[in-house]
Amino acid sequence: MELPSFPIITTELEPCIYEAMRAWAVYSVSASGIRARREATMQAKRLEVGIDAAALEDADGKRCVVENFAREVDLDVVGLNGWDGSANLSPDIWAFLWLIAKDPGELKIADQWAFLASPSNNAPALPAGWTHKRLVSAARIESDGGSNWQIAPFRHSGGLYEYSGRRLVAVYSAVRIQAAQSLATAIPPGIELAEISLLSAVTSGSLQIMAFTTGAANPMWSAWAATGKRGEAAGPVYCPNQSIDTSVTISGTATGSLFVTGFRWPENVEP
Amino acid sequence: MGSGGLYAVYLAAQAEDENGLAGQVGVIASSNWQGPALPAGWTHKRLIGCIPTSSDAGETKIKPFTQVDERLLYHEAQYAVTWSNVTESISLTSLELNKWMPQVCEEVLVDGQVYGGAAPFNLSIYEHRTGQPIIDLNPGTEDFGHESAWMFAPAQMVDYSVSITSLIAGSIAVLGFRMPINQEF
Repeated sequence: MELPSFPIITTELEPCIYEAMRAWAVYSVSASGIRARREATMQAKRLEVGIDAAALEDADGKRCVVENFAREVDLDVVGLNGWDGSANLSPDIWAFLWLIAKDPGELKIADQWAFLASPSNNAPALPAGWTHKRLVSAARIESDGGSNWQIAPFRHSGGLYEYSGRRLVAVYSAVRIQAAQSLATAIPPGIELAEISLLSAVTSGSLQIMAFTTGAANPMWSAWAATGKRGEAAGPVYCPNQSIDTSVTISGTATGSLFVTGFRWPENVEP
Repeated sequence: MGSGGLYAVYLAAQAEDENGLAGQVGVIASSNWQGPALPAGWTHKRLIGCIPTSSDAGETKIKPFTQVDERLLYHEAQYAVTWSNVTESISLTSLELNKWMPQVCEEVLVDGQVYGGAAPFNLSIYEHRTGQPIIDLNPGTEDFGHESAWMFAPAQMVDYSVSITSLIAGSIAVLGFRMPINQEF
């Protein structure tokens, strides 16, 4: 096969080539190297976020690029690399993590950038002068067991978001005809693939728990167990609108549990 | 489109300028996995996806699915084999998966389960022609055996063996497959 070749004449790129490379960077880099995490050993109410490269957009659809940026975000502080202050933080909400930027120059490279956490997944309260934004991750805010809130520990790398331990969504102890089950306590809006786990735990009799994509005839996953046993199944399921269907068949004394272990984050999408 | 089957999705381009940039681009579905019948003047193509379909009372319907990068996931299990209240003993035998994975794919997400009744009973799923089990379920009496795994499935095949008696249920299902979209055209 004959490979195309081109001579390297000078160390300075021709303007048209530089223009093309810049356009490529702005319009083809959607996001790469997204990572975020919250671990129990970190200071309370803080998490870490980073990206390798991301295209951000302003309200007019104009883009700029931010590269190689990571920070600790403190949700207890209102401002850059903190909370946007548009609402009070409290249990049972999402803190959406935005990468924001301002003053991109002619080359569409941002002049300043920061992370900002917000309760909104579409319109964070941007500080004055900050124009460009991109949603990069999310954190679930939950009760700390007392009167305060905490961040549900998680690890997010690229397209994979995993909780540190599975999150219980529902427990069933009676027959259930296939019906909608919300995953909103563990799956943020806009997510299409949830990683779930089903557990059938039986004292006496038997129990089968099934998980379906909404309205599907066949289950995606099912777990069955009989007296004194436990059965488990786990994997991905399509979950538009933060919801799936579940069904339970039961005889005797048993419980079926539905957990969410994580979800697929849409990393390489338009800002 | 015919009555069910798997259709290739190609990204197509009409022309290429001196900088290698396409003039017009479009997407076209085809039953030909080697090369689609492109409209006149459309010269470039790349395989990017798959549309699985089924035939329902003579009507072709698209099966719900989600493709993220290389991996296509069905929205419900596609049962290749099911057992319920039967006695069956099958030694190593081949199972065609060509209804659920296209010929260009070699990796498939397989789910196997077998449960209920009195032990011993088992279900094993092997990489085709190797005799090497990837899923090997030997649950105890009234226990639940279940496993899913990404498997190499050359020629759209896996092998399996099963030994069950009445009061035992089981299945082999395809949940998804991996599209070779990051390869040469």
